[in-house]
Amino acid sequence: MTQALLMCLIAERRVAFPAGNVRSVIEIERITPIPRTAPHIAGLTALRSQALTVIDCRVALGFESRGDPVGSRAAVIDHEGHAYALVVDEAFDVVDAQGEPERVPGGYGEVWEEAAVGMVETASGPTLLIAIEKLVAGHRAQAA
Amino acid sequence: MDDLLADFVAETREMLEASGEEIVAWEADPSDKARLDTIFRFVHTVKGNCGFFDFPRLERLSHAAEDALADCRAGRREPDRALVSAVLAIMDRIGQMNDAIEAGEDYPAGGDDVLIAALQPGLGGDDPAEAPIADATSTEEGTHRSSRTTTVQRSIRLPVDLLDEVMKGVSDMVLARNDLARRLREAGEQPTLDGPFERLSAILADVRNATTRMRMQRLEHLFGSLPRLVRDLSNELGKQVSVEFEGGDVELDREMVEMVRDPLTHIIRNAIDHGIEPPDQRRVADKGETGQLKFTARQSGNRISLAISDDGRGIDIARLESKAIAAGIYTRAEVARMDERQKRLLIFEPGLSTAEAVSSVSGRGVGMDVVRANIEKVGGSIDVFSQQGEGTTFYLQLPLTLSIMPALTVESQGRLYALPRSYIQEIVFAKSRDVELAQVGERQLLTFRDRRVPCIALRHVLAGDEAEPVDWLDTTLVLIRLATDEVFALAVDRVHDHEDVVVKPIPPAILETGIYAGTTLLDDGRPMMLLDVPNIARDCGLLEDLRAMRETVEDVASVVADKPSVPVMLFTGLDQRRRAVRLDLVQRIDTVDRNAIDIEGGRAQVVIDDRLFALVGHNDGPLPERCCRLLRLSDGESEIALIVADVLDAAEIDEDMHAQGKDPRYAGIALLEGRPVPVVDVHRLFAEHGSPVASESPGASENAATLKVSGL
Repeated sequence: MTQALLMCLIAERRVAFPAGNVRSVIEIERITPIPRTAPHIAGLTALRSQALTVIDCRVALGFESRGDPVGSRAAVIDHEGHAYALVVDEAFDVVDAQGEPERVPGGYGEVWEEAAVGMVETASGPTLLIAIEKLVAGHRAQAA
Repeated sequence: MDDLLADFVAETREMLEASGEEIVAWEADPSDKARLDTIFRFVHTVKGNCGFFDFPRLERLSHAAEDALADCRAGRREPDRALVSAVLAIMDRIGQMNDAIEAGEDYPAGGDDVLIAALQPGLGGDDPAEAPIADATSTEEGTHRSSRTTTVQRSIRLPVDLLDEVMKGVSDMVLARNDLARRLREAGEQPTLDGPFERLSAILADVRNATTRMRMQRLEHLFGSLPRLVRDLSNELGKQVSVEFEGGDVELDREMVEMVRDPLTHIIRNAIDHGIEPPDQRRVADKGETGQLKFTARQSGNRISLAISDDGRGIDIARLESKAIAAGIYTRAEVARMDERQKRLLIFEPGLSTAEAVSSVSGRGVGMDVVRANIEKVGGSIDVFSQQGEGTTFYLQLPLTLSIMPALTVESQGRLYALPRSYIQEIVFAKSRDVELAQVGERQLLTFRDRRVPCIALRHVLAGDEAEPVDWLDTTLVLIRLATDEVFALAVDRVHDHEDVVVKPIPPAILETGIYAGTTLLDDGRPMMLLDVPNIARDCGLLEDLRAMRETVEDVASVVADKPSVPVMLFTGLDQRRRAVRLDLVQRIDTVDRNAIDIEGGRAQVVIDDRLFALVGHNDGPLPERCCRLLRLSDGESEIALIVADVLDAAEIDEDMHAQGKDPRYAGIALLEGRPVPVVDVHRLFAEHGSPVASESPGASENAATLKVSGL
């Protein structure tokens, strides 16, 4: 069974989210910061009448932020009853995975290892499949 | 039909429908314990409810079925096909009687004994009793079906998802309306569009109200059905119980109200049956003959806490222990290792009951395990505290899937936050002359109305140590009273508005900050965080501090008697905002023509009955086109006219509101019915605009013009 994937760019790497979880892709227009939250939580934005928690994916993975997410693209997902906007460098198409996620011998490098589900083959080449729950929870080292 | 009865009928029918499948499954495998439990709970609940409504036949049937099933549960009897059929027949009969109750008819008498007799063991095999049962039910069915058409139920059930969708749609519409309103305003007046737009807005407001009501319900509604339940139960058990409610105005998701109804009923049954002693025992124990049952609901953060306390005999922990061991749930060694709380929680174990005798009211240990299961199913939790001889309290924590809450918006460092209004006691300006600020070590203290309360700055709460230093004198202090009656002051940069906000839950990553309880959307669609007031107080270490300080505060307070309240007149200014002015300064209310008002530069005057008055309040907004409402104010020496959009009402506020505030126009801000209302500083107006009472004619305008006039 193949899975539909949303292809994105995070920290200059091509990554994919399971498209079934993705409701839409939006451009962040306005953001309300929330003081005292973990660094990867950029704030709240509203999609029509719903508040979305904005996650800076770069920070969530442990990279440097690109700064104010206003104007960035974000994938809107539902995760465990809450809606999030995952800020990505860029969002591309939805493509079908050509096979199950697989492990790559040697891993994906320290930063990606934690959030990765595995590598999937797609029409546009091999892509890293990211676990949404890891992005939502944020980078462990930073949370500590 | 009585609301309660309608609920009973609907509930019974729903449970019957739900257990239909279970019965079939049980029939296929009579030894299936889970199915047995479900069916047992059904008959148990019906039995309980019947006792309460006085349906002796229903009660007899369900009691008989319950007895037979209880034997199976206890292992005294093996369930077989015959028993399944007999229980099935009883459930069918319950369903038919239920229909008859709904239609307001009497169910034909007779036939019950056959059904009950069929429950007796020893009729296994090719059951001879099966035939008569079938006859008994089928013959009556014919006569009964015909009458079912008279059903009068005027309610429907809808999937919650659909309601959510409608509500979301309405919220979106409101935002679109606000956007459109902004654009219309920018485009200037367009009579062809403005009228229909107004109408659309009004309709939308109604629809929004209605959709909100679709989901939300005051707890009062639930509480309303309890006194009767308590009365009937206590009569039945020969006990005297009085009920007290607090927090009935807390609003809860309708779905949630339905989910807690059953658990609450079970808890009440238990409290009256096992908790509260008979009058003679209470006399011996030196308590009043009448037992007390108290319900307290509070909204705290994004949870509702509901406490049900009785002043009965409390939970007998030793007996719970031995029961648990006897029932084989825990070994003696396991129980010995438990702490007090774990032992108390044994009460929620399935198959445990501390009652010596089985009564028709609370039965056989079904109940508390079901209560816990039901509460946990909706994401809540339940805890119990008990003091032997003193009473028992159950604490239910319920999530707030969706809630509408009156809130005050406050500003800190340019951002808006919402504070639940239920905590807010008063709002004062730090500069007000009744406020004294003092620093004791690092702690900022506020003395107001002879009370000394600790202050925290919202800025510190939100930014931690990185916060810019707070200029306390420049803040507005929101006095907050916690559920524990402790008071502290939260310093904010500004207090904005009061509004009802729809609070939505926040994801765990934000919740873990401990500062926020939910999110809400402002009218323009921007999200705003709702502050978790009790948690903030706890994080700042205020809860303990407060407790220690309470005594000194009481000492100070006891010296000074309560300040008298002052009557004020409420009005809306030309900017449509609510304000108040001291009633004793209002001479009269005048209505004049627009032409009587003369405004030129900073000078404004009005002619009333051929006398000239200085006019204030005209800078707040556009003047009405024809008739202008004026409040004529007098301090005994001079008079001025305050122009208003509308005169609202008279009210009472605390005299101490008269304090010099940050905004020089106001003496302070009073809290009326929980809404902030600025009180106009009339003495300042007189100082600036006051003209001697003597100015008799328009000709005196030369005089008036020389007075310093700067407008309100």
